[in-house]
Amino acid sequence: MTAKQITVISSRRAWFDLDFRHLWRYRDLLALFAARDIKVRYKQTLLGPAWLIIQPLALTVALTAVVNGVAGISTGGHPAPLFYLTALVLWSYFSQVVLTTSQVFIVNGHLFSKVYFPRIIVPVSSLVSSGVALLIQLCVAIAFLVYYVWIGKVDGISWRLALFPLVILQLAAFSLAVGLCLGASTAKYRDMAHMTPFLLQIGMFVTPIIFPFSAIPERYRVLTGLLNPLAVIIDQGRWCFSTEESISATPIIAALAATAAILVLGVLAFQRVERTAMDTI
Amino acid sequence: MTQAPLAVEVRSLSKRYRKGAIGARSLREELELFMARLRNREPVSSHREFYALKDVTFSIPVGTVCGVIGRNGSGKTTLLKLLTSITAPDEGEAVLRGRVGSLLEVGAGFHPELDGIENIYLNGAILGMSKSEINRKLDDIIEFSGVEKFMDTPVKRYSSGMFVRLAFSVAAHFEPDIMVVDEVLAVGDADFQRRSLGRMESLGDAGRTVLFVSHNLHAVLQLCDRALLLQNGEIVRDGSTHDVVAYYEEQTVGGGPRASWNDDEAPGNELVKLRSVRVVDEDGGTAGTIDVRRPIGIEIAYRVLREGRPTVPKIKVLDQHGAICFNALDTDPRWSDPAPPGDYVATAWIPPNLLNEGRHSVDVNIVTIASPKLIPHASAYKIVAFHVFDPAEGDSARGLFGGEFRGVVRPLLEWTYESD
Repeated sequence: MTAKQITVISSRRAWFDLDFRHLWRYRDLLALFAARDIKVRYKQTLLGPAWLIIQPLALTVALTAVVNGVAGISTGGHPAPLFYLTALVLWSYFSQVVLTTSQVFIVNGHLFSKVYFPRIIVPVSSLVSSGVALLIQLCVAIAFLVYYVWIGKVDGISWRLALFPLVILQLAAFSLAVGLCLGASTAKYRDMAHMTPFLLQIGMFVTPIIFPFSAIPERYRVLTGLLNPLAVIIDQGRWCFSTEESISATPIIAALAATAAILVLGVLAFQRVERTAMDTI
Repeated sequence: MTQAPLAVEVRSLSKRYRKGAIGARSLREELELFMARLRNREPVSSHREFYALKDVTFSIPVGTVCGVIGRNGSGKTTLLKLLTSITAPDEGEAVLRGRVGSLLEVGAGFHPELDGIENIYLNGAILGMSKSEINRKLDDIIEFSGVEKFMDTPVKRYSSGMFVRLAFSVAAHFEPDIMVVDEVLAVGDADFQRRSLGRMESLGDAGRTVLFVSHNLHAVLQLCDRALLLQNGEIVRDGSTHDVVAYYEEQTVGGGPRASWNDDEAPGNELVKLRSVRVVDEDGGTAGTIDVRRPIGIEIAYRVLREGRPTVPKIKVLDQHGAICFNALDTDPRWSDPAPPGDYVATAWIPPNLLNEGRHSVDVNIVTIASPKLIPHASAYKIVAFHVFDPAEGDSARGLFGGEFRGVVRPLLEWTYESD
């Protein structure tokens, strides 16, 4: 007989008990949840996954015409469409993950009240399913880059592009961190369900999407990294797409530290809430 | 004698809920609580808490099928939710040795847009199966479900029957060491219920530990070796299924397998008085639950006070719906003369394989036959009750059929055949 799995159910909670071996057992479930979300998202739509491309492109066109064209806000030397598209792709991943994760207990309430599995599987699976969308949208952004190189508006494709996966990793960690914090508080206070879309709207304006990170005064950049790591992440993304722009290390370190802190906080809060969330949902 | 190792150990498990507000706490209330704690005072809202489960302790050896019964709101579902980690206890702990699977709902996590195969994988994984385990069992699951032809159809196009069959088929192929099952038998048609009962039974036979919560006392009697009775969140009875079910019915419906009286309150007249009535099994022991294949004795003790008229004991058996199953008188010629004063004990033996499953109650009379009337001397109505159960082992009238088997009576008939 194989070694028996032992489950201890107790009123005492460990301060931090993320049992990775336990989570690893649910890897198939994670993959299936991600696959489900991808398959289901565009069922019964006419355009299907084309929506993935239409949405950021339409926004890019609007921003290029209004923000760059009418308002004349600088794009820091980048071709305007490429400048907006790169940021929008990263932003839409963030907002997608945060929105779904913030509602995880509400949307999955029925399932959670009937069967146990580590609840964190669901937010993590949304990182994966939204990641597929991100990759498709990135291909469009790269196509734009290639086009601008071809017409000579951009000097070339830099080795920096190879670092882009690191940007995605950081983005995923930060999205999960924010999502978990909001998800945990939404389970307790329904007020947060109304606040999240609103917070995301504000977030879109305070994050350098329609303006370059370089527009922020030098002395505030580290502070920005601490308060809004996404600002730095998007700047890193744009940096990967360019050849000449420089980037400084201190805001990146600040952003990484902030991300790590929020992620720990998010996991703690989420674990605290998941134990008894089903009593209040 | 070596004892089987324990699969489930529960120690002082308690769970509190707040009355009224089931929803999330408001921020304001949270502040109030916080302020109360600061001032070191009992928060106002603690008065509104109640125990859904209080200080529950029990253990279940490996391979036992244990039933959990109790009225609505007695804490059955709370117990299941704690044992399956759906929610956490406020006090106490539980240790479960082995892979735990729960079946609180068939088809949990089924997605209407996905097709049959995709839902098998998804639901299987949600229950706790690995992908390779599902791969291995896929053919069996599809075959068992009986909806092979619709495997590539989104389940939203399924009829509800097909949906339940597929969902149950997945659940039926899930083989954890410890299975926790809630009222799943309450859904689906008779065929489905029969199959799920059969499935539960085979889990038990395979040495798996099953915790089975149900309102269906027949099913509990049929499947479980042991039962727990919950009342207001506390275990009030823990023991053999028969004892616990009998006790529960005594509590809820009223009337147990025995009744007795003091001299002054005994039913009767100046001629005869009842002393006690018992339901007994063939060994003479008081029995609240009786196997359909065994005889049932109704033992009537009475005292004849003076020699006046003939006194004949009579019983009337009613089923759970109040329908009269039969009347019976002792037809022995010795009762045609007045009996001399003294104590008598008469036992009426109901033959095996006569009554159907379920709860039966008995009216007892001591009468004088004066056709066309019976003159009652001592009467007690619905004075004792017993529960007939059928373990469905193949040698009763239902054979191996596990579903609902209606009728006031359940005779085991002899069948003859002719063929050419």
